[in-house]
Amino acid sequence: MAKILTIEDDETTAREIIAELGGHGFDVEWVDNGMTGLVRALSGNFDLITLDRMLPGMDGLAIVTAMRRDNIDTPVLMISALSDVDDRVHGLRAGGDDYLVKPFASDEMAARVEVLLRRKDRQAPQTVLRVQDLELDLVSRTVTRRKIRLDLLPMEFRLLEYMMRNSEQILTRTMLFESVWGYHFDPGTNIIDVHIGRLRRKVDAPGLPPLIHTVRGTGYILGEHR
Amino acid sequence: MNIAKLSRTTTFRLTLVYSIFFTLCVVMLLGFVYWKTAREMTRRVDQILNLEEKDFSQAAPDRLPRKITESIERDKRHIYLYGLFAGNALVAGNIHEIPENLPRDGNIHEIIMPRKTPPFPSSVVRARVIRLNSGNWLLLGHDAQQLVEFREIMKGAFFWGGTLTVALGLIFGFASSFRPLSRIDEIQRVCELIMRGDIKQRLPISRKRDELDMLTAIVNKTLDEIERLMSEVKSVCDSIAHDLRTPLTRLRALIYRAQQQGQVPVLEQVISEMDALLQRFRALLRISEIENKQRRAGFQMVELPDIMEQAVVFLEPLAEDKSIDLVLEKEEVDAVQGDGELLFEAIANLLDNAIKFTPPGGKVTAKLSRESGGARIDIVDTGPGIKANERAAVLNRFYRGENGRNAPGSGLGLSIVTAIVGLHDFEFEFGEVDSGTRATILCRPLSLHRFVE
Repeated sequence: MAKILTIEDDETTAREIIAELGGHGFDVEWVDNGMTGLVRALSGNFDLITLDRMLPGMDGLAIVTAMRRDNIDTPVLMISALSDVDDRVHGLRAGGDDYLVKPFASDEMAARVEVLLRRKDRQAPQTVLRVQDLELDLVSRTVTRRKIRLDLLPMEFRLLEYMMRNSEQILTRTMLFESVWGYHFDPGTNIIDVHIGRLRRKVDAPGLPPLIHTVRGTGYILGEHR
Repeated sequence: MNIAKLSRTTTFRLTLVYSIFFTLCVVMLLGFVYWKTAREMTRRVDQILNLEEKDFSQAAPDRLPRKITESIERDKRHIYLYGLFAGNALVAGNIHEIPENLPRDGNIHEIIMPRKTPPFPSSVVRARVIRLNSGNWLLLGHDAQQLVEFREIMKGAFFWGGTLTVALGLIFGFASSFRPLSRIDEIQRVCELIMRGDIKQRLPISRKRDELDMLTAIVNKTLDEIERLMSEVKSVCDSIAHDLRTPLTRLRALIYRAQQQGQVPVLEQVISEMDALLQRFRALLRISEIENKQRRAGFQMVELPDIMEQAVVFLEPLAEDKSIDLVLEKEEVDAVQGDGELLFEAIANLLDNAIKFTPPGGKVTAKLSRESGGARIDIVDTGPGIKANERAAVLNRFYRGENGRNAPGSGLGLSIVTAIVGLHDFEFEFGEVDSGTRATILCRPLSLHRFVE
């Protein structure tokens, strides 16, 4: 069971994080101030840390910086009310692994935590990504399903690559937009859904068991149907 | 209107300065006239005394007393003084002794007579004492009372002239300050009305087009802008209240149904309604976030062709779903200073709008072309178009055109676009084309082409 450290001074937010991550089967330890948070984070006993940027008397950035200096590579999900791109860049540059803006939806937060935990497991660089009978070759940039080649546009290829790297996990629309397109604004309408729809028509041809699943209200999962 | 207030006006101060200056000029002029005249008068008296001296010193000594007596008799106006003295004793003349304050050096001096010597009336004379060859002293004098009187007159002229000029200046200053000040009072009255909330009031402008009018015009322009902003704020508030009421009401109905029936699928709808609501708030915050950005320093050189292409690729599936032909036409353009992510957002928003309002089977063209001093982005669609009278309104937050009442989205897309364009100092406009609507971003910094033109 993964152990997660939540450094968060706002009790309501902390309770929400604990409830949501607890529901996903994680063991959450909550610290409500920067000093204790720093000490606990430096112990290195956690699989992931959620870190509020604005703590009383301390900038969350200082904690990440201290951790990285001590070579503690525990993934950090920064949670902040500062939504500006500059703040995001600062957060990630200091060593944060992902950046979530307050107020956030619990399922979004949980999805990001899952992805970060998985990213840590997967160290070796891969040239071929496999999910069931779907294969994506990063070198030849080809995709096959049941050995039949799929004809994908470059954007679809990148979308599928990201989904396969994070297979069996919920990926929210925002995560897809941020990771695949690299932008951080709200794309609005249902544009991400339309992109997924198009990809799905190519990947999940009629007669094949579907690999792309919709998680209603939240996002998508690529993988075995559960 | 009190004196203190009047005396503080610019007109009054100017008038006062002018009148002081004018007084100085008058005093200088009078002074010059006085100096010239006095000198001339003195010169004439001295000339007479010189002639007399010549006349008397050449006369034979024994005839001198007689000549003096004759001269005195001829002098009916009593303006000459004569005195021939042997030692201190008077031989002939109309003065009994040589005044002690008259040096016996032959030069002309102006003296005050120690005592009167009737019938000679004057107490100020110009006189000289010369020593004759015979050893006697000859005193020759001429009345200088005229000079003294002339001086008195000039002094009076100085005083009264100066006083009158200053007094007139003051009166004129007050009088001429009165009108501008009454205009200020009128402005003050209108301002009080505005402060009390009547924002429709405007300051009065006279036909003079003077500096006060210029200032008033500027203030009126500012008031126009404030009024526009106030009405925008008001319409935003109204729109928020109005726009949020519908989804919230639907939400309440859904939750109520879920409560009644214990249905889980209904809750999914609740979440999606909630998401729509949150999207709207995010968009609102996004606008103020962009508008608050003052960091143009963080701009980089942006390759517009790349961004256009990305945006078109990003929205292409949406167009395809509606059977709309999305075409990209681009020329090579110079890189522009800007924030690539924001420009992508703006273009994506415009494309999204164009696709949204174009009926199925239509066409949306994204065009990038060169423009003097920068680049030009046109998003042209074959939709119903925006009526000319609606064009300004569509830029208002939350505005939906007649045709767009039921379209999905936050209604804030164009506000985001204008905020981004504003941050870049670019220009944004809507235009009509044969086929539908044209939305244009002129990517050339306004400030730059202001310099050029």
